[in-house]
Amino acid sequence: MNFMESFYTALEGIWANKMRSALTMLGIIIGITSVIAVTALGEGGQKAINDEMEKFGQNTFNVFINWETKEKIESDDLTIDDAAVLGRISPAIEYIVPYSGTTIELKGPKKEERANLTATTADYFNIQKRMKVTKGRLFSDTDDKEQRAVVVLEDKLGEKLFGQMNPIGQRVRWGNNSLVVIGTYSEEKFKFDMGQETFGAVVPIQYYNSLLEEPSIHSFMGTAVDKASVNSAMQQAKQYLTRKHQKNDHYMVRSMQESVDQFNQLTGTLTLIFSIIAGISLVVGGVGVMNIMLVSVTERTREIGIRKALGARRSDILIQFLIESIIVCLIGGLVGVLCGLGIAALISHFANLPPLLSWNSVFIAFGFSSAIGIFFGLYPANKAAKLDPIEALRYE
Amino acid sequence: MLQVEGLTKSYKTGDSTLPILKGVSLLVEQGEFVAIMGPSGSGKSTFMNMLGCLDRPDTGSYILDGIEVSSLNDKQLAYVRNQKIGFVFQSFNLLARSTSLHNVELPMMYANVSRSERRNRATEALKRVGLGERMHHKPTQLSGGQKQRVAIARALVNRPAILLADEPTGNLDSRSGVEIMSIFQELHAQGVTIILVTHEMDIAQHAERIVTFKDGIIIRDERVEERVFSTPNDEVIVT
Repeated sequence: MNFMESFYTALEGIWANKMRSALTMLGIIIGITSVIAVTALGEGGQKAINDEMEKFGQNTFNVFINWETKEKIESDDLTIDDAAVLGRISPAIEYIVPYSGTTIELKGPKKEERANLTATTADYFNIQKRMKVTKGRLFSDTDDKEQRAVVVLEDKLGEKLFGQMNPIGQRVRWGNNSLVVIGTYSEEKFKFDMGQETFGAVVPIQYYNSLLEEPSIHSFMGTAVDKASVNSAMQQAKQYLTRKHQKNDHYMVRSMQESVDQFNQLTGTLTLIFSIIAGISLVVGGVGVMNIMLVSVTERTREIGIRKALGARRSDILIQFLIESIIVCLIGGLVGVLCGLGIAALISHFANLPPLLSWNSVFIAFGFSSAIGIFFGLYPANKAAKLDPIEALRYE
Repeated sequence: MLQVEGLTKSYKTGDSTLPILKGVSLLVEQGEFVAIMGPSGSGKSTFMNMLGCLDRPDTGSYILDGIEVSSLNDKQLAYVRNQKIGFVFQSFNLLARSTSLHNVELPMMYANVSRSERRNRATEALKRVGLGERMHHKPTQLSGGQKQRVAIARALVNRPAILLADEPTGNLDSRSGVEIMSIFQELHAQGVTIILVTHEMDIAQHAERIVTFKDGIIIRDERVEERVFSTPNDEVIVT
């Protein structure tokens, strides 16, 4: 019997027991649905976060003091001049700025408000492409060099401190210091930063350092001229600092890309673990298929006997039952893929993730469901094929 | 056409072996109509299974249509069943979910006959047994006699060398039984080789030769000279 005939015969078998076939499929549907939903959400979330990161700083890197350094940590390990020199001499570096940050209380005419203070140079605004000036201006190199007491506020912070008043030209108090607001900016928040209620304020670093007894700079933030130059930019920065300060293994560089990769590894592992858990339900579904196929073989013993008497070979019977279990699994797989993608789309919608059709997981799901059809169908099909025709014909 | 020599078969039951056939030899010529009779346990059903290639003998030879069948493997036996043998069973053994037409097509499906030729030959076979009007009926919509006629059409559709009928009238009322037997007569007249297992003398009388089994051997093999039929009205007709 050729394949198409076996296929029709198998379809007839499935159709004749609609309810049972549907229930059998349900096991596969649930298994495939969960696998697809998990992987689609995992991959979708990963892609969404990667897109965000790419948008805001695929070329950026940071320079820190190595946590495990054996050298003495001093306040002048990173200096404003170091950043300036690096920016000038390193061909791979586009911008590099010194960066210090802390949390402070700012007092405006309306109220006092907690703020994330960033002390840096003017080039910071060239690195942070998420920041857009909404009112006034950003501070300049001159503001920095002159140690002017100026501040650029995030617009929401401005609203909180000043209410409806235009904050430009007004003063805010930080402890005993008074700063002039020269501008406000809006910052396109990182999409997955949820519930962040502290807003930013940026001041010139020279002014900030002038207030401190022993000023020290936390880190440098830089951008490479292009994506391909990130590594050489980081190497140049590290080499220069090591040479200049004569401290081995004292500096550490890290690119945004490395952070993204690390994040991807984490989410990839999580997705895999969840997929395996979901996969277990798929195996349970497969056992259900085997169970029903065994019932079906027993129930159709006589039919098998008739077919054998009329000239069916073992292989004909084997293929007939095998195709039947594969079809059940494939239909289950198809419905499961649709349900899984539907659920993933629904969750994406509410979690504000972009929906993602993961072709990989669709192919894997189909591969899996046919493999399950074959694996769990083989034993019952073989049992059917091996039936003795005389016994089978006598079966009531 | 069909030559059996010294066929033996025994079954194991626990520790002891139970001999069922103890050396059976039989020669059936092309176009013969042979009835096999005997009480239950005489070995006639086992013999029938051997002839139908559903079972293999322990020893002995069986040549069907020039092929030594007793040494064939499973796959080859399936081929012989498909091509050389047509079965008619007491309990019809039609596929319950399939139409008459599909049931008759089934042996041709295993013979890889093309769809259109299958349809034509099945239609023709059903017309031949007078069921041209009921091709699309399922077995549940047919009477016993009609079911058996579908089975006969199915048995003949691959033009087998022999037609094996195992108590074909056993599940039928006498009227349908007579109908079926008249079809066998017709087929015999057309030259089909028929082997019929029955325990009813009336039915055996339709054959031209009666072989009687007892305790695993043939005890009688005689030609039917004078036929005695009883009709549904219990009239006795002597031909």
